Amino acid sequence: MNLPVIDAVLVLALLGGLIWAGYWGRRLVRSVSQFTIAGREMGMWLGLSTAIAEGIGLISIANACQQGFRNGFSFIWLSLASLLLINIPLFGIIGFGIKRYRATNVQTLPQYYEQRYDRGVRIFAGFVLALGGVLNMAIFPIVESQFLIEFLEIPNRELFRINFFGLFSYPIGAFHVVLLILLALATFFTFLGGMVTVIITDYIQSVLIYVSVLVVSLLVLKFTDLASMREAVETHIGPAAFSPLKTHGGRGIGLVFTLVFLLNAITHRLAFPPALQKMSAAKSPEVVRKMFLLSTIFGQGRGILFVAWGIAALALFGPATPPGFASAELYHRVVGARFLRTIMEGIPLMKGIALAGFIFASISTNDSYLLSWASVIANDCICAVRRRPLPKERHIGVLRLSAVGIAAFIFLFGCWYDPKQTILQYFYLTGLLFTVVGLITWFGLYWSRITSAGAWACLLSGLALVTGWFIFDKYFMVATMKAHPNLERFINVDNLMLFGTLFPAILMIVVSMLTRKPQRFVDYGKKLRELEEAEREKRNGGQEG
Amino acid sequence: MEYLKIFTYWFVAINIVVTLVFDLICIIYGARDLSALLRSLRVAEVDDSDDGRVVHEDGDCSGDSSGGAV
Repeated sequence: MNLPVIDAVLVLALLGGLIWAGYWGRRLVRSVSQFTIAGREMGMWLGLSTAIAEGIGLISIANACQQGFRNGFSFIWLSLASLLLINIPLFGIIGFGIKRYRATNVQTLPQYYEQRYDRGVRIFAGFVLALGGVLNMAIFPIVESQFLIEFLEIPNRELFRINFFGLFSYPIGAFHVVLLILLALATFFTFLGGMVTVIITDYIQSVLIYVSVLVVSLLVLKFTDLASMREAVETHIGPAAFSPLKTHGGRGIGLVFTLVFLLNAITHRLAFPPALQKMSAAKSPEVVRKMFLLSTIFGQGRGILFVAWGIAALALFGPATPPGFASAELYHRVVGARFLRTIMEGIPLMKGIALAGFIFASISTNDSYLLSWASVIANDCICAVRRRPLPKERHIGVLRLSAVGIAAFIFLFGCWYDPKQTILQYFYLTGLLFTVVGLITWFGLYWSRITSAGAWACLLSGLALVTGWFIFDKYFMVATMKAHPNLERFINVDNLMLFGTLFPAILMIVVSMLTRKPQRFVDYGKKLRELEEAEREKRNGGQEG
Repeated sequence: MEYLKIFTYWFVAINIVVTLVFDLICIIYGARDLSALLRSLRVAEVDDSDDGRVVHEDGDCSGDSSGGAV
């Protein structure tokens, strides 16, 4: 391992401080709602600063570096398009959907489904969300571990073998140890005090991540000048580096993927529990809208910065995959780590600052996600099935055990699975489950005609599509493409995502039209107007008084 | 294409600088909100019914969720 002692001491000291802060924060938790959503008391600036920590995951650094290395700046256009067409006008200015969701006052998304549809939809949607969410999240620590191993130059040799009763044995290497450490740290903070601990530690982490990213970016700029970065994208990627609609020798992002990206920007807004749980923790619907508007306008640069790191790596190394990597995909996934390691060589404390930033970035994302999926499993898949509510202590215990169970599953998943898709495409494939969940949230909040049967049809069709694709991809894809090479234009992940958005939506509308009129629609638009009116009167009364 | 390139480079540079300044502001004001959150958690009245259940007021499953203020 290539880490000077002084750097290691710095990382351990910072981690120790964070653990102490988390341990201190646990005593503030006295109820289930404080554990899951911090008692709905999070202010706007705190929400924004914790979003820095949550938004900069080690996975997003690895992913953005990969996108920069492979596609140049084309990814930026997708962000800009969703920013101008969707995020600012729809969510930031109007608060479309997000204000109504906060007004429902729920702790988890499936809880809303019981309000709007019925308990069956809540439990099944909870199951679909937990499945999609845990599989979606499972890749995070796997890629993060690969990234850290590359950054620290840890030789991934076998350390020991675990023998299963003489039946078979499994080799444990450095990858498994790093994976275990990252998961254990994230689980520790979730386990201690839920959302309260997550918010306190996320805030502390946001400070350190900010310093770390700033210092590393200055070093990148010093090491790789802007002219060579510009030359690298124009030489190695060409026009595709500047437009997502152009492809260049397998590089670049196509039209269907762009369309899917924009559609998902809407459907996933009300489908992704980690983000929704932070909305639920906010003080009011208006705070949610303001948080979204500010972070959308001013927070774009975070992702772009890491894309620029990937481009700097392209300028230094060139596009070829060096020997020693099983595939180009694997190399692209860790190229950012290899680049940063190279430019930090010999600079005192630099690796320690960067490593602490990377570990904190990993913890801050993973603990929020663990809490969110644990809340869905505990509240919507376990407690919702019971006729009588659990006592408070046992309920919090179930939440904690769910978090530990998810972490254990992810560790086992990491031992077995080797994803072949690019990181972003993997997210979107498992994210298809979120698409159908988002559809029933959107339609449920805005259209009184949607019925429980329609929601069931939407969920089941989404689940069938994802399951069908996994089976086809694993057993029939290679043979089919060999026999009919032209089919590759039609049968691919991008088209599946587009079809997986449109088909369940149409099915839900048709089934709802054919079934009886629903009775559980609550007009949250009206409720929001009443709340705003009351707030205005309160302010006016205060001024007169 | 040349305009596209120039716009991209400026877009990248401006966004990075703006985000760095914005994040710093969030961190500074976030400290104030964090302290307010800790204070309110210490004195908040605990509502044990606000545990993720949906209240059944009239025998069916309709209605608002339990507990908590909007």
